[in-house]
Amino acid sequence: MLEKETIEKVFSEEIFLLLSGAALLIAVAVVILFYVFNSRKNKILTEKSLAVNQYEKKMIELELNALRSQMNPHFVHNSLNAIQYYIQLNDIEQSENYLTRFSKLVRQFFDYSRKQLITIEEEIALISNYLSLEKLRFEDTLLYEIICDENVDADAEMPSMVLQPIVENAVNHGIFHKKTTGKVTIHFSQLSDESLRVVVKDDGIGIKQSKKLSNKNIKNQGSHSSQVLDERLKLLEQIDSWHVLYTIEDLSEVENTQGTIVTLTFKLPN
Amino acid sequence: MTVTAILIDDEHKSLAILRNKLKRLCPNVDIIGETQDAEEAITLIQEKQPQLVFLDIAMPSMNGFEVLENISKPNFEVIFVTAFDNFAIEAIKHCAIGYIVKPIDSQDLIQAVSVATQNISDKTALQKNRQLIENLGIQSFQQKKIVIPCQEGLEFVKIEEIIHCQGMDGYTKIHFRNGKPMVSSYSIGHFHKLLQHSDFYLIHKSHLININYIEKYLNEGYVVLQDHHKLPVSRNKRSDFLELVRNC
Repeated sequence: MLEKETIEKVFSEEIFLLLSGAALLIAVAVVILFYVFNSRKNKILTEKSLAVNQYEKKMIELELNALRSQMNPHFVHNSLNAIQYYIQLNDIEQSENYLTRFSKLVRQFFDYSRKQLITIEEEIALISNYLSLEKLRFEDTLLYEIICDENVDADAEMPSMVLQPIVENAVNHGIFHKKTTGKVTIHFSQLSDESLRVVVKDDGIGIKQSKKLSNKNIKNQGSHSSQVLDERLKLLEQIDSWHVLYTIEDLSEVENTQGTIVTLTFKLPN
Repeated sequence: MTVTAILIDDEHKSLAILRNKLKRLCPNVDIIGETQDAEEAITLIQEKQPQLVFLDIAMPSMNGFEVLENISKPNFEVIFVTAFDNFAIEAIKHCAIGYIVKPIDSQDLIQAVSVATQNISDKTALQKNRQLIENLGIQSFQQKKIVIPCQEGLEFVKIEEIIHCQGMDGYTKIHFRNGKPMVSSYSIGHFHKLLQHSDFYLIHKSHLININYIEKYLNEGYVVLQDHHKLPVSRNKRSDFLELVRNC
């Protein structure tokens, strides 16, 4: 009887030791697991917030870049210079007309650079306002036409801040160097329900000749806006999944005339 | 003193603005010619030999610098006229040449004309214009030369030669790699603006250094330059400065 009790006691002591050992091990394992899990979770969280931050930063950068590429300082000062001319002439009506038009354009630039999408109607208003101010400088040597096919829905949206830099390039690198009158044509057409095409065509000196000139001229003025445009198109694809196809051709290579043609195809995100 | 001048700008509006302002504000300027065509400008200048030329930079087919380059002996003062061109303005400033921006401010115009008028008697225009053309052909910033007006005339200094500029009560002492230092009547701020480039760093309100000549950085906040000058780095600039130097 006594022996049995002792055996049982030893036995239960052994079990107790074993069990408590196991419990301790489990506890340690749980603590370690918890710790690993927690630190990993934190790491993922910080990575995520870092990614979000970087994304936000990138967006702000692009917004600024877009604004900067549109608010071309050359354009701003040349417009103001032309207004100074009408003030000197004491031509109150023209001075006011151009001043208010300029102010309207600046407002449009600020508004649209904050938005990712604008309606086609808004885009056309911006482009025509911009070109009317360029005409102030170029006078009779610049003609322009904006054509919008009937089946294009003017209320439909398209990515903002893409078209204007292209039109500006047509004016400053195509028409500017041409000795005679030049014309810029912007044509909006609907390819299918999901895709819109915009063609910017000018009969200026052509991109090949223009590149030669800007290479000769110490600093390439065109590279900045094209670089911003490339970045912007890439980002549009990443975030909004807008697919934008973009080609530039020298017309001498396409149809044996002088000028540059830029074709943009905007494909709606699915 | 009457100054003969030619105006060159591809836009007739800009020519009209300038002409009107000159007549109103600078009666000593006698306009002897103007043109909207860059190529015509070259022959016009060579024919009429003006003392002063107002030259637009952005023009079709040929820019203002090319006009200058194509004149065999550009011995006239130039005032460049530009709507906006950071790069061009920097190059012009390096050679102590005049410029005004569009739309033209009356005070700026009066100031530029008065400086140009004073410069005419110095007969330094040819050297400055040639230096500008030379600099435009040089890619490397350190290889360019800047023009520093001094008591005897003009000093043409290769940027590479400058170790550091030291501000002293509105004046600036410039220390060179070779040769004696010179004192300019321009402030250190003028040189800070003139040497806007990552190679130059204003470590302290009165010390602008060429970072290529740093020999040591001491933890107590000093740099030692190759000419053994030990200069303090302002407390608030230390971390920024160290980062810049590390990235070199």
